[in-house]
Amino acid sequence: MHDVNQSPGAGPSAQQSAAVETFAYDNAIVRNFIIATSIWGVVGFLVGLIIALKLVMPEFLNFIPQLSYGRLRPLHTNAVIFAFAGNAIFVGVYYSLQRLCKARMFSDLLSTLHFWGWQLIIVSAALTLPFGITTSKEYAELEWPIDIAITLVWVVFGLNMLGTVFKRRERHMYVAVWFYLSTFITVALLHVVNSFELPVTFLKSYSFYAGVQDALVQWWYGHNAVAFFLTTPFLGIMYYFIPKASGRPVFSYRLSIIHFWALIFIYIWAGPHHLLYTALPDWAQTLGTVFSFMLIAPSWGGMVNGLLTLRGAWDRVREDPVLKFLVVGVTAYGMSTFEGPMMSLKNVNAITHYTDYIIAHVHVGALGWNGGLTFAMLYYIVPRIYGTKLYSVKLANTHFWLATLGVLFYAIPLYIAGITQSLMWKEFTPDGALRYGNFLETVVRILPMYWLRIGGGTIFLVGSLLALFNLYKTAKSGVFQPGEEAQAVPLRALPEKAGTAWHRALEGRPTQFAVLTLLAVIIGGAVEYIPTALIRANIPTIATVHPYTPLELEGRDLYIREGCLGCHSQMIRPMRAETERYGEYSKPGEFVYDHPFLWGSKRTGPDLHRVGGKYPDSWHFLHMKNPRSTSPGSIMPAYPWMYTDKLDDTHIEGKIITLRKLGVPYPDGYEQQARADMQAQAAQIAERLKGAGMDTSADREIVALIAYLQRLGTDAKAKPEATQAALLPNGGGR
Amino acid sequence: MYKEVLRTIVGIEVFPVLSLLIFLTVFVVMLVWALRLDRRDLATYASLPLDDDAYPSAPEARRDALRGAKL
Repeated sequence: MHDVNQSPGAGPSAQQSAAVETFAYDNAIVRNFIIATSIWGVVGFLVGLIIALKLVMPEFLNFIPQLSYGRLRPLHTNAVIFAFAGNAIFVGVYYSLQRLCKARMFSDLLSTLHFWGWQLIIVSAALTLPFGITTSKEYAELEWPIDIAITLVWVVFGLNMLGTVFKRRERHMYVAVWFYLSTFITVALLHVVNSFELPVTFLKSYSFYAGVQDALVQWWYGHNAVAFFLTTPFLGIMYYFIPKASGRPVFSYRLSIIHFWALIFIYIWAGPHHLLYTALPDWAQTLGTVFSFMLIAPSWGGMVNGLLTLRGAWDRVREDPVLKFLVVGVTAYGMSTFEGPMMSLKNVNAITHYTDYIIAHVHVGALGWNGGLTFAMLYYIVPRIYGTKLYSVKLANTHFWLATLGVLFYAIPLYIAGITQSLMWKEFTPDGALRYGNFLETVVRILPMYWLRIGGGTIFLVGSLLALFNLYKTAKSGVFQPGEEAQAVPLRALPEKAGTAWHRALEGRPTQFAVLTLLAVIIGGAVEYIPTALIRANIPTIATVHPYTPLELEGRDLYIREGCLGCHSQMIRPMRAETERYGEYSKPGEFVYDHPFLWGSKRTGPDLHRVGGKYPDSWHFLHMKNPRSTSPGSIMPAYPWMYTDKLDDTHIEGKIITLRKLGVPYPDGYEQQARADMQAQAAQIAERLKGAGMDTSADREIVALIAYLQRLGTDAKAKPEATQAALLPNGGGR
Repeated sequence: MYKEVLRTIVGIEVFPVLSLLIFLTVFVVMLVWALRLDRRDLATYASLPLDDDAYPSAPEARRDALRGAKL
């Protein structure tokens, strides 16, 4: 706790001046987070650029497994979301919360713990993801020990924030603080519920949920991570920094109240819009659609409130890079939050889902909205905490144009690519065959757009480097002020006003406020989740569906390790174009043993749910070794290490035991037999490969992966008698 | 098929109705309360970010202090 000194001050009355306290805002923690967000931002953008290049040059930087596309893609998303935007959130919170509460942060120690804890989590992500240590759940890829660390650090952040709110010297909690509190509460809830997993080893776990349930929980999390990590904290930042930068109070405080409650209450219900046309029950899909559509109102209410705050100050927007970034940021928010509800309409979603349209959409959000607000904030804060002026306004304006053009050059080609590819997937010839039966035709068509995206990303990255240089020179030109002195009357010295409205009383009590916020978000989650949880026992069982064999299980874990689901879905929607291309649509009962589910959300390559038995083992063998040998023009990278690396089957017993605990019906004691079964099945596959002229040892990783791929989607097609052999590989004819 | 699944859940028919009621209630209560807030108070709250370097703190605090509050 920072010492509070009594100061005579220079107040309007002697009585008052006796109570005035002098204290210092902690700028050091703000500066630390500024450095972190700047560095991690560039790292995140750079990794993004690398994977964008890999999509047009599949063998670019593919000389070691740690740099393959499937492993770097989650590194990019995690770096941008949690390292760039995450640290930016903490810059905004630590800077504005102190000033809005007229109090130094509750505890310098907690601030420091929070800072270093968060950076360690980011470093551990950077060290695990390239090594294929992942849970596979999007934006929640980090394994269980890191999940626990995230929880602890998040609690430290929350305690520090709540402590500051409790010791504030300003009675009213400004709307930005509400957004910060709701961020803390909801992200905690989302992270804990989605991270239920049972460890097998120190760095391997299986999701507690399976199949449809796992998908629902994951997208309840994924959608609300966007809501409460990439939206609410940035809205708080918007509500603080737009008034600060423009020197005008927010357009309508009443609207900001309605905006807050409507947004947090509606957002939480909308998760299922990520799972339209999937095996998720219809009612949940409809619920998600309805609430997603309603979301446009509070989202646009917030955008309008932000933009109208600038009424009468638009002439300054022409000169001030801070205001420029804020305006474009909020406009990008408006664009994203218009698209979201539109894409949650089933007929629109049928076109956009699985395509690059979604990639464009999220980048308008991440680069435009999160990036725009972050850079505005940095340009605003850095000169102030260094007691100087921005080194070069001209350079900041150049950055503004590079960032804006970068987003446009990124998003527009991908919108076109997404719609183009989707329409090609769906097109039939007059005699009823798929016009583009070969998936690759639809990929080759959009490669020019991928090149344009690389251009846009590069422009954005160059702009960020200019910003870094500009901010560095700004810092060098000033003197850092670690403690910024301020004065205020303590809250306890102020009398309670009689006849306080209950809302005022409510916001005067952060605990009750926090509880109400928690209730608002729990209601939406519960109404969505409970019926699906109850389905668990009632999911229509398919008699022929049974657990993976040990070798298939190992192969599935390799599929997870290599990040295959970043490019291949395993969820065939009930649409003619899809059933024609891939086979029978996916049923909920087919996924009951899938811990975690692997439906995926993007088809850079074709869906794989019915790939089992479609090609001989030898085709997969050649395809993974050199994708272009079987599929000319393919943009899939090769996986040469899977041919040389021996399958690590050390933990097969543990995996079987863990999955049994989670409800997968492996017979008691089966773990004793698992290794023998695995070797037997591997020998069969190696034998078949040998017959096709491909010599490989049965204990290589590729053999396990082939086993898994050949199993995919075959259960539903199998004859009941074929499954009597249960787990023995020679019984099922696989 | 989904209908078959959902029919097995006891009381499932109340879910949509319940969802609608919860949502409408919360929304209406919030709206009524937001619309009844005092305009002058709102103006004070809206100016808080602009006031964060000012002394002693919010205008109302200054008012209260000047009225001889027990400090």
